[in-house]
Amino acid sequence: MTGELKPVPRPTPETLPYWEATRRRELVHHRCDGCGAGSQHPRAVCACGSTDLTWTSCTGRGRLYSYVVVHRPEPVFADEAPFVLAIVELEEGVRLTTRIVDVPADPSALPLDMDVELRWIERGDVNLPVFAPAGPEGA
Amino acid sequence: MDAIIIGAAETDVLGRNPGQSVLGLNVEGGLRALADAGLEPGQIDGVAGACSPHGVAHALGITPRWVDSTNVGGCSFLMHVRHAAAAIAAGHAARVLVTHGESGRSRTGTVPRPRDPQSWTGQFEEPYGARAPYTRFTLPALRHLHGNGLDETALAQVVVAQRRWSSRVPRAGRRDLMTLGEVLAAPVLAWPFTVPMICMLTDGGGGLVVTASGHATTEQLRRSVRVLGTGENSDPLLVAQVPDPAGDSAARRAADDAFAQARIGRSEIGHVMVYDAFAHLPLIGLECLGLAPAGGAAEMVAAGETSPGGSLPLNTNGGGLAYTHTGMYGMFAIQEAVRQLRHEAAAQVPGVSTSAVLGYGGMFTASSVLVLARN
Repeated sequence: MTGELKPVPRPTPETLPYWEATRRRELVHHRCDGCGAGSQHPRAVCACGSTDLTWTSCTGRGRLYSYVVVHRPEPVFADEAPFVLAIVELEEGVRLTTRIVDVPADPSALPLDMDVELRWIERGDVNLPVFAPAGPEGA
Repeated sequence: MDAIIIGAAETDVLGRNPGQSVLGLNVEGGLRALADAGLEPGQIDGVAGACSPHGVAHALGITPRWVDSTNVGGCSFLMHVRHAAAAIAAGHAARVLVTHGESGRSRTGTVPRPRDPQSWTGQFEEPYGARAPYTRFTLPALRHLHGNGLDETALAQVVVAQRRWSSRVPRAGRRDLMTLGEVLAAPVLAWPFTVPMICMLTDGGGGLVVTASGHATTEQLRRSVRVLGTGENSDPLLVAQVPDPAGDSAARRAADDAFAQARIGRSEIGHVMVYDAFAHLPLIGLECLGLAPAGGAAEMVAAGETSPGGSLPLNTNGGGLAYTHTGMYGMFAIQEAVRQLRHEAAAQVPGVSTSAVLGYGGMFTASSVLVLARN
């Protein structure tokens, strides 16, 4: 095997808790204790003015907000094409760019607002949160 | 506000030009804008651009009293016009040269952009294979279509409408008329986006000269374009976190500021340029500008209202989809608005006297708006 390796995120001091959590296969978001708003990447001050922000676990459930099906990716991802690059909105109201996996890369299988649940793919020394169509309740 | 554009020009070549560097394209754009204004470089005391304005100043023999290198991506040049107007009003400069040049296709003299795995996008987008703009800028499009009961046909209508303009513009890079079926059947890069729904990749540049009427000659005033209002705004750096693409977004906030300053109503706008790196942007942009009702832009485009002869001529050079797109299209959107208001455009809208220009930057996360008028 030769060629470029797939990109691995390199944490900064601000994002280290997020990526350390992924090593435990735990998805967290930066949540404001003042107003409850959250975001995937950390902030110093919430838009409401509060500085009480803490890394908080996510349930891993969400909905498919939007997506594209990538047919011509950059060369390092060519072996995965076509793949579904998506925005998922978590139950906590946080949106993130991710992949939808375990489903055909076909719009007919990907209705918007579909319930999705957390999966993981390994990448370097961290794990990347990705999502799959949610199974039936209680399954 | 008293700000006018007295010089506007593009580089001779738009398309493939491997013999000219990024700096060379900026310099040529600047020199042609100066010639258009009837000025010498020594009469310029402010320089702005997204690529090394101090390098451009040096190459042109200008010693600027004021420099602006704001770079938020493709709409930077709309911000430069806004910042120049403020600087001139404050007495920091009298005549500002704004330049753009980019070797988007040939990459001649382009500073390489290595991966940065510590950046926001390097951490939260690129590991998923989201790097090329057509895999990032495009992410909210399906949500907008879905929310308004539309599908990819609405994107194809934008291409069909803009080809009606570019087919009349000799300098446009893509001039063939297309049918809906042809657009939809073209190769897919990132569904729902087919090749004609994605901007061109070209080499080129341009320049603008901004001043106040008190600094302009009678001849300069005769062909000048007035800046009535400006706005700029930004959203979170990651496209997934833009609150609402067509509602609460940088573009809507920038548009509201620009129209408040311009003190003219939306109904008075006779011509529109919306930065169209991708075919969903004219739809979302018309709604953010308040020129189409929420969810109603696609219907206007399909009805021909934005096409030649329609009530709201849009992207009359063919846009980034069909005219040219160096990577930072904002300069060319302003150029076409200026040509239309001077009544010098290739596909001239008869009698047009006002224009709204909306630019996007970053990956859909920054925006700037100019409201312009025939002086």
